[in-house]
Amino acid sequence: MSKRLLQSTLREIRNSLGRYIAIMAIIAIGVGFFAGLKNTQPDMLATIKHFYEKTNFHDYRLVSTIGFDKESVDAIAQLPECNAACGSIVLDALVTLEEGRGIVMKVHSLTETVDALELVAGRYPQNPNECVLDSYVFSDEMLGQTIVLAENNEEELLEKFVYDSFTVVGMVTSPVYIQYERGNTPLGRGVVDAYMLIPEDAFDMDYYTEIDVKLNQNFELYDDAYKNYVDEYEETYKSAALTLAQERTDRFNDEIREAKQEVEDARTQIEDAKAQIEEAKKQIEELEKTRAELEEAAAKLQPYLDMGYPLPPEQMAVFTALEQLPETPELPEIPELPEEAKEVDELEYFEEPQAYVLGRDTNIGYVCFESDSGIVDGIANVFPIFFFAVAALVCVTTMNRMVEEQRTQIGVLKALGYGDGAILFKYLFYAGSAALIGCVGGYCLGTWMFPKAIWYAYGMMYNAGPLVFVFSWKLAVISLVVAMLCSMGITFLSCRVQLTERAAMLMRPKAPKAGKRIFLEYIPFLWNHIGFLKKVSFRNIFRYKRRFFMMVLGISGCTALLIAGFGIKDSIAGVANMQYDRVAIYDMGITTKDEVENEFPLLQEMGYTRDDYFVFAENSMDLVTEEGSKSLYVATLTEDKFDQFYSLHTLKQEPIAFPKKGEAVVNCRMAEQFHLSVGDQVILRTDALQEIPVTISGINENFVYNYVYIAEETYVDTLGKAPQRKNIYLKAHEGEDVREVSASILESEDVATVSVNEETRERINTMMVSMNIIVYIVIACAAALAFVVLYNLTNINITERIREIATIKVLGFFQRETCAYVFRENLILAVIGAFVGLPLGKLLHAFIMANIRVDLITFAVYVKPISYIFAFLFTVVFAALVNFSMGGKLDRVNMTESLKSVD
Amino acid sequence: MSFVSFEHVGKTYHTGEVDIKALNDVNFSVEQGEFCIIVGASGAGKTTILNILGGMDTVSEGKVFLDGNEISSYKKKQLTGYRRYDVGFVFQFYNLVQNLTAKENVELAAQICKNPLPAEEVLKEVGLSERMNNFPSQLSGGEQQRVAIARALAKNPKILLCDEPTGALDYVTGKAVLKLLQDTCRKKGKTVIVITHNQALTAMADRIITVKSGTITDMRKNASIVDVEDIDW
Ligand SMILES: Nc1ncnc2c1ncn2[C@@H]1O[C@H](COP(=O)(O)OP(=O)(O)OP(=O)(O)O)[C@@H](O)[C@H]1O
Ligand SMILES: [Mg+2]
Repeated sequence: MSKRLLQSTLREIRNSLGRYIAIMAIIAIGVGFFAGLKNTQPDMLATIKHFYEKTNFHDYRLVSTIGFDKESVDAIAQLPECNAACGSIVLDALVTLEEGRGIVMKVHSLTETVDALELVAGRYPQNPNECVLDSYVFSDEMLGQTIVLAENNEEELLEKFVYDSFTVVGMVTSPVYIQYERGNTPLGRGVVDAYMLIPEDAFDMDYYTEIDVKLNQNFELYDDAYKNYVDEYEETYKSAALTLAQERTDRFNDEIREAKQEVEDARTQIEDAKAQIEEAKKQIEELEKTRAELEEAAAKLQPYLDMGYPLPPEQMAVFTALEQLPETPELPEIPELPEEAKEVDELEYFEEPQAYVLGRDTNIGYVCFESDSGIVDGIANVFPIFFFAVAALVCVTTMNRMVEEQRTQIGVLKALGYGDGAILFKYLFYAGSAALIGCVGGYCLGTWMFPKAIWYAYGMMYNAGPLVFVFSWKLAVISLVVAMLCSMGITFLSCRVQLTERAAMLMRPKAPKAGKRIFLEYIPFLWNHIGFLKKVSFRNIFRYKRRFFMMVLGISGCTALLIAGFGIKDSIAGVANMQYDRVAIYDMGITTKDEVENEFPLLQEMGYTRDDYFVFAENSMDLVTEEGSKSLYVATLTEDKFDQFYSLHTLKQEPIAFPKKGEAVVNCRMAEQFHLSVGDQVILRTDALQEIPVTISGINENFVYNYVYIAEETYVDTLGKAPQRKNIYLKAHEGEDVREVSASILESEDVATVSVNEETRERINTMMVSMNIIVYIVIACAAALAFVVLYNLTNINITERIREIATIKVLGFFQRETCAYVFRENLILAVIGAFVGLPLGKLLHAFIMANIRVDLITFAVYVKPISYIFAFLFTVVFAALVNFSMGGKLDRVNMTESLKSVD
Repeated sequence: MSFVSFEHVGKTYHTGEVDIKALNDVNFSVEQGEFCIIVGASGAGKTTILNILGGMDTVSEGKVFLDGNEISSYKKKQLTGYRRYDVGFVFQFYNLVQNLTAKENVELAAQICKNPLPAEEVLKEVGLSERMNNFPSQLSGGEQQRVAIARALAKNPKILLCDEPTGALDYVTGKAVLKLLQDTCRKKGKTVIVITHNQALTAMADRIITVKSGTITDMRKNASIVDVEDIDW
């Protein structure tokens, strides 16, 4: 490339900086959005992987019904592939915080190797009465505070602790709890609120409740190779755990047997002793009798003796006999069985132990992260392609236009003897350099900004440290290749066409595109009523087909993106409101400590009648289907007035009949996830692994948590007994403050928890604010895209029509009229594009929502009408703004220069 | 005062570091109803003069008057208004709006004027009553130029300015176009200024202005006006 040609290229860039920057920007947005979103899930996975590896997250959790000896850990550590094994103690306890609140805490013993912690603040415990705390739930303000084991814990549990209070010295994150859920518990309201860890010495226990195992190899998260790897060794560990548990059981049972034997032996000894004592008693009686007889005889003889009568020797023998008579022996006491013996008697032998190997796939955080991080991937699969398509389209048109504009110049260069290569290079350099800068800039910015923002949003649900960025060569190469194809590839093709023409041909002006009548003109009724200038606009719109499609496609894309963005927000934000406005219409849910027979006295005292509340049983169970299982709540209902508290209806708002025996109503989310429909058979599995088979009789609308509703007969029929009715739905009286009501109910001894729907609604709404970040990103990107597309198209439009514009300026069109003349058609195109974008947006939204899943909350796939209006208006306003900002450009169109030459 | 008068007009183009003096102390005047021809070599400054007179460009120094108004003092908006109501422009390359039919091209200009002439009538005058509904691409060069003239005339301007109107036309067609312009001047009494570098054409003008290197070297009234049909070149 000659120096002059390079100079000419650089000057070209400078002179058409707007276009150059537009190409750069569109490539940057396309690449940034594509690479950014595509990289987000890998980044998130890498973050969790990094966290798991750093903290040595367990591969297996071995648990047994009897626990493990402390020595067992060594045996497990000897097993193949075992990298580290750590025994730990995990107990649930009710604790009281300094602020007075009582919560359910998972108390873990600190482990060193497996499931190590990440210290967020403070330090690790140095004394056994210190603890570190869940940093997700608690803020650093907890440091230095004391956590007290509540007195209403079972005595048995309290005995397992050396101390009854612990000082918080550190805040930590545990790999076991990367997600906000802390698991279920029989205590309190059934849900664990937070976790804490204390030194092993703080437990007064000589065994571990579980052994955590880390195997040698690390894999990519959720990789099949990992699943195979852990499956391979599971049996080994399971049998080892079972053996250890068996040994422990046997030892205990032996001890019990021995103890029982001892007691038995002691019992026989006591019996023997008793017999001997009886014997002795008899002898003593004999002796006493003899003594009495002798004494009687002696007493009779004594006077004689006193008087000095010599007595015959046989009579004297009485005295000797009496003297020789042995002392009455003390009767030995009957030995009593020691108190403990009774306990030993009551001791039952341990049942055959069960041992389980629980893999990572039983860890809520691990499992949920796979699906939750999939949300991003869902979005990433749809949006960027759309973006890229629009970007490519803009690039194509822009470069095509540029090459066409410069026909004459190409001709001149050819005539001067420049080779095709050199000329080609000029344009390739122009497009390529813009695309390269845009691609690199967009890639860097996109892969930094998107994951960061989305990770921030996920921070509301996940807690695993700062984001780890991964660089994906594949993605970078794809971005670059596509960017280059869109820019240089297209330029190359357009140039080829021009370069094949002879120089002389090129220098002659290309015949202007012929004017043509449009279909509207054949409808005189319409055509004759359109103002003259508007006719021009209409003709222009339909004259340039390519520009028409470009513009409509580009703009409809922007509208669609905006609708999808707003729609995601609608679908997410509406959930809590819909749930509590039309589904869960009760005011608060109460769990009682004891079973409620019929009336709950407290509520009756408070002035509520049996019509104001509904009593039922709620249990946590697994829904087992052919496609997998899922833990959810099962509400066992006995009364038919359930409908007054909770509306069972389908997504189409048709009421669902109360489930009959053997039937179940499941919520829509479960039905969707496992592809269930009415009539399907599923199984409900209790914690104790008992199974209730049911037939689905309805699929109901429910957005928050997952529920199955069954009739009490169904439960009784399979499990033999009725579940404990401990749940109450209450409807407060008109005009009452639900919070005040809940507070006074909570004061009662008989109540475990109260959850007010109004509060849940607020909580979900707050949580959803985090999701909004993603939505704002989408909207901002759509806006940016809209802007660049419109700018580019308008720019092309103006350069294409520069002579026409100059002409009408010469004719004396005022600035305003010129703008109207040129921009009217742009605005009409924008409106057409925006209209086309409406259905497109609906489709895009539905597609994205199908890809988004969040545990526990079901999104309602719908777009508010106002969102359509907003998206439409935004697009049109964008278009108007861009056009007005281009007004200056029209003003600068130089009449004399534009009209001087042919092209 | 003359209908058109240039007084010490100078025009300097600033392009980068170099200043190009396109006009230097230009003085001339044209009377109402005259057919004036400006001749000169390429680069002499003819177009510059016409552009200034047509309100498409501004002077660097001096004054320009048309019909007693000092157009050289006009601001941008006034200039637009001036172009709109007072000037009719005909270009070498016609500059028709491709997307409008012949009639519509005329209407485009006419509809923004205060008292335009009916488009159809003007087109009939230029001999295009049959081709009114054709698009420019369907017309020959001469026909297109006639549409351009019709467009300028329909505005009913005070002055008609033509920059090399025959430059892109063949001999015969060129002649026809010039005839049309001359007739317009004669029959309607319009002031017409035509640029050409064909010296032969000066014979048909009332007034001949010769431009050389940015100044007027000669301005004379034509004593023996020849009809354009009788000129050969
Ligand atoms: N926009 C501009 N920038 C710089 N110089 C210009 C510009 N327009 C004209 N010129 C210069 O002004 C001078 C006069 O130009 P003008 O177009 O008036 O010539 P002309 O007599 O019409 O020539 P031609 O017969 O070739 O059309 C020329 O030297 C030209 O280079
Ligand atoms: Mg010229």
